[in-house]
Formats: sequence, structure tokens, C-alpha cells
Amino acid sequence: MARKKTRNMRLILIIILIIAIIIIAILSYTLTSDRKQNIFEGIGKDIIIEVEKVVAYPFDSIKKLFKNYIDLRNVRKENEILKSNVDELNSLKAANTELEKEIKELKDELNIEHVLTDYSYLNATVVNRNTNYWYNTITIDKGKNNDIQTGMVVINGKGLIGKVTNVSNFTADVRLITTNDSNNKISVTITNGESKVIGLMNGYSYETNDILIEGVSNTQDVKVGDMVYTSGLGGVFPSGILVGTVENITTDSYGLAKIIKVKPSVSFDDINYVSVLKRSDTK
Amino acid sequence: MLVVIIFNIISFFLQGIISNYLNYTISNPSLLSTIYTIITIIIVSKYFDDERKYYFLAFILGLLYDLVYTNTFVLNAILFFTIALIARYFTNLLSDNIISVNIISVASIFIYHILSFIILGIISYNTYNIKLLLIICTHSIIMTLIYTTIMYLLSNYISTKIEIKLIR
Repeated sequence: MARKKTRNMRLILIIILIIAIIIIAILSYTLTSDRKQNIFEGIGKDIIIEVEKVVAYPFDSIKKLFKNYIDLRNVRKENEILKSNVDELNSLKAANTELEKEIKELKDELNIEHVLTDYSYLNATVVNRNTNYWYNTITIDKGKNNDIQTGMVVINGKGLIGKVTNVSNFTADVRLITTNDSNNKISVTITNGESKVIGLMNGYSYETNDILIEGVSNTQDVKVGDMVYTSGLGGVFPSGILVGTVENITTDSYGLAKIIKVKPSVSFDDINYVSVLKRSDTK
Repeated sequence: MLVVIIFNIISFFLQGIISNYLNYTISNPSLLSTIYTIITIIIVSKYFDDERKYYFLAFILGLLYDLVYTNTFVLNAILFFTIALIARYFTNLLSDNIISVNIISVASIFIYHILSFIILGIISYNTYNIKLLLIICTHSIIMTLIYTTIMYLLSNYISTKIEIKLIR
């Protein structure tokens, strides 16, 4: 009797172990960062997001009403500033054409693949933010129907936000650069206007809210306050997108390389509108 | 049945709507964020006579949560199912009053975050530290208590006005 009981217990334990292994295996597969949404997930997400938009409409309207009121209060002042800016526009336009020409020549000369001028901007609204803290993604209201593709770079007026990881017909998921994903290192340029240093974004410090940059030799000249831009190396992120400013510089335990902490230019706790960069040569 | 479904739908969409109005990040959690869907799963537990239907509901809500809010697959379905099992056990064990429901809710939200932390840690989806987990758990307490209290009182008020039949 006792032996039978022990055997049953052993069987239950084996079954629990097998179930646990299967669950971990499934989760390992489903949680990999490059897993693509299947068609049912895409359709399901589109439907729910559309319903959510309808449900959120009254709340959004109230929010817009308040925002409009605040904007109206400042409109006279803004109008005066804009009028003075219009005068400068024509001269800037001419300078811009000249600069574009120069960029093209320099690109050919330096053999650089992608710079910001090669891209067109598609504006999108953030319809969902990850509520669980752990995942660092946002959902935008543009998808395959707007020619959004996986891997496209997402920015806002202040700088780099992340890249598109999943696309459905009407929405796309964007992974933020604040994700500690070892498969997603981004090459950056640290510059003070004169010298340029290449480094690698290698994670995010959740304690200090800083982006960590490694791969910079201790002999290279980097100062607090230097600007950090994407370098364009690697081919995913075009060069020239602002990432942030250098806030702190330390040396690794061997004294050979610098560990640079960068304050992101984007405030990741308040992203409402973004722009997706589309290569001009894509449809 | 209809009341239970409406409760769940409201909580599910509330999650998305509130996320668009709160400013927070992982390193700066909001005191007003919690997992509203989990709280509703706990509140509606008493309306289920058939436990299998209750667990099925939790699993489906988890799947939808995966799809819309976390961009994962099955992870939240398993977590919600596990929390439904635990919540059901304690709901049967403790008397139905506002304090015990609040305790179960807070414990369930903690369990959810802890399990997410462990699973994501094992699978190396991302690397976080325990301090961060503690901050997230403690920051969720206030809204969990507020939302549980509101939903508990609301469900009791509705059940005095209309008869909510047990789901068999």
C-alpha cells in the first residue's frame, strides 16, 4: 500500500515536472523578442484596439478640450513668434537645398548608407502603453495598411524612441530603447562638435534612468554634456538621431574602457505622438 | 452572467485607457496603476458555481491581456489562471467581506508581479533587480485597494438591485 502511494507520488511529481518544462519551453519560444504575431493575433489585436478607441473617445474628447483651452490662451503670443519665423523660412529653404546637395556628395564620398534625409516621416498616435512595466513596449495606430514594417525606426521631436517589432493591419508594436535587450545594441556617436567617438548602447539603468554606453576606450576624449546621436553603423538606425546627453563617465574595473551614462532626450513616461521613419525608396 | 461579463469588459478596457493618461515608466511607477483585470477576476469569483468556467474565464482574459497589453503569448493566460486558482482557494477559505477581498487582491497583484519577474528572469527576456520588483509591488497597493473597494461595493449594490444568478 505504502509502496503504491510512493509510486503515485513519484508519478505526480514527474507529471508536474513535465508540465513545468513544457510551459517554460512554450514561454521561451513566445517571449523571444523576434517572434512575429500570427494572423489571428493581428486580427484580434486590431479589433480590440479599435473597440478601445471607441470606449476611450469620451475621455480623449475631454482631454482635448482642456488642451485646446490652454492652447487658445497662448495663441496670440505664439502667433507673433510664428510671424517672425516665417520671414526666416525662405532663407532656410534655400540653405536646406544646398545642405541636401552637400550631404549627398559627402555620403557618396564616405560611403555612408543611411542618413535621416533618406527617410520620410509617418506620424502616429500611441494607442496603448504597456501597463505591466516589464515589457517596455508601446502600440501605435499605424500598421501594415500604412506600409509600416518590422524594424522601422520610431522617433519623436526630442529624439530616438525605439523600433517596430510587430505589425498588424492597423497597429504596430514599438520596443523602446529603454529595454535591456542584449540582442539590440545600437551604435552611437558621441560628439562635442569637434571630436567624434563611436560607442555601443548596452542597456538601461532603471535606477538612474540612464542609457549605458560601452566600447569607448579610456584614452578617448568624452566629456559630460557631449551629445549622443545614432551613428548609422549596423544599418538599422539611420545616423543623426539624437539619443541624449552624456551625464556621467566612469571607468570599468580594468581601467581600460569608459562606462558612459547618457540622459535620454526623450521623456519615456509621457509619449503620446511619434513618427515612424520610412525609407524614401520603400513604397 | 451578463453582469460578470460587463465587469470584466470594463476592467479590461480601463487598463488601456488609464495607461494613456498616466505618466510612468518601469523606473518611475505610478501610484495609480494596478492590474484591473485581475482584481475583477477576484471580485467575480463568488458568482461562479462552476469552477471550470471561472478558470476558463481567467485563462481567456489572460490571453486577451497577452495580446493587447503585453505583446506576449500564453504568459498572462498562465499567470491569470494560476491567480484564479489561488484566489478561488482563499475566497472559499475566508469570509466574504471587504477586508478579506482587499487582502486577496493585494496578494494576487503581488503574486502576479513576482511570478512575472521570476518567469522573465528564467527566460532572460529582460534583466531587472529585486529592488525594482519591490517598488512596483508597493506602488500598486493604493490603486488595488481603491479599485477593489469600488468594485466590491458596486457588485454588492448591483446584487441588491438585480439578482445575479450563480454561473453553473
